[in-house]
Amino acid sequence: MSDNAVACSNMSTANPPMPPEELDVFVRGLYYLAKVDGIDPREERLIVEFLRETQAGITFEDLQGSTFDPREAAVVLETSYLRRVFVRAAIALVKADGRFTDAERRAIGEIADAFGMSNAEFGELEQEASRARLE
Amino acid sequence: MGLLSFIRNQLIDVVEWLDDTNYTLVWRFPDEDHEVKNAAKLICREGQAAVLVNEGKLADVFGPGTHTLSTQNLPVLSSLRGWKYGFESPFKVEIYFINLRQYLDQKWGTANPVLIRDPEFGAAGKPGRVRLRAYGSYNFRIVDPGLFFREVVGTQGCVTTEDIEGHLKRLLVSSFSQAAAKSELRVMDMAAHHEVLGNAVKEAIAIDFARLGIALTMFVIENISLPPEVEKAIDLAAAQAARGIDNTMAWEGVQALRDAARQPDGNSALTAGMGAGIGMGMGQAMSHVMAGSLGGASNNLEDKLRKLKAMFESGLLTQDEYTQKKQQLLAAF
Repeated sequence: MSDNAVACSNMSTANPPMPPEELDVFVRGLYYLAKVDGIDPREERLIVEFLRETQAGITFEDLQGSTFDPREAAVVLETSYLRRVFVRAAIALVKADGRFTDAERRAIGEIADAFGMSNAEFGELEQEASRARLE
Repeated sequence: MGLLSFIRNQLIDVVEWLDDTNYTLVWRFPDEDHEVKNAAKLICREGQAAVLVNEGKLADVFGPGTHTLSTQNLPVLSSLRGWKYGFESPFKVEIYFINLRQYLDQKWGTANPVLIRDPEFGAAGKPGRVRLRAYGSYNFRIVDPGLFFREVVGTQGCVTTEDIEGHLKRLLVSSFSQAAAKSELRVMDMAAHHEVLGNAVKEAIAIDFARLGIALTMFVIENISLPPEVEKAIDLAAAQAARGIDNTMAWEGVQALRDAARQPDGNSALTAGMGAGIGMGMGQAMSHVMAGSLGGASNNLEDKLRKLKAMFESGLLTQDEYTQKKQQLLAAF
């Protein structure tokens, strides 16, 4: 790894991966999807870890009273690139408990619709996210 | 792997170009939305450069090697963007790869004849001019990717040799015309001095090409040709010289005489002479030439016989004419 890569990696652990408003949408959205069919302990642990690593400034308990609207996410996550990252992360999270229920698929599908994604694109993202193993 | 690592992995990407053509000069990396991910690896292979363009404005240029895109090695882009969150967010940028290898055996040629001054073709006090055509080949390479991008690429996603061929050819032909005019070479000598002309063109074109970020690495003139009628005249002059006749009027007179002799009609000599525009003066000139060539007192018999034979062999005299005249010469000896 080059010096630049090392410098960049160090920087990555010190700073959040995205601007606060995008990070806020990510954590609220992921929490919203995780609780669609009841939050599994593994899902809770992943969200808690994510909040800690990103230094989001909120706790898991804070999220319990939060709301999430797919249309709001579409406004904040402007680029289709970020939207795809969100959908992949969401699918990977809800599958962490070993199941991908119809209710979860429907909830993520509504977000994908709000993002203007086609069924084909959603299917492609679902396949990509299925290969991830979150622990 | 946690959620953050998963997202980070989404943000890391490799930007590279595996060119399998031999004609693509510039290729735009087809990333959707032109989003470059966090810590993306930009791989420029040997003979490649990459140009980053921020909202239509040229930012940073990378040469061969693997580059981790960070604020440290994106000084121009960092400055242009004034990144609020450092390099952590994906950012919108266009990446163009530029091929730096040599493009060999590109063809050039004069679409229209080039007018060259040459005193040898002057007549009646007027300056001599002659039209000539030329063609050949050249090699070039991009030496300044940033400049080439600014001057040539614009927003095109792909630029091939075909796209700039016309422009380069026009520059080359223009430069060739100037070099040919300045060379002070006679047109007749140009064929023997292709290299001199080629070097002159190379020197002259260097500045024009440099303005585009290109270098002309080789320029070859394969052929220079004159208009068919001029080539014919040159051949005619060469034939005259080979046969020892240095007067064009005399040469034409001899040819008219030959044609007349071949006519079965008795009046054919006069007809042929008039048809060829030969009047009394020409007749006199012809007589003079014939006398000078064949009957001059100063010529010895051997010369006369030699010229007579040459005329016969070139078809100017028939077998009968040749035999008859030869006998006359020998009888007079």
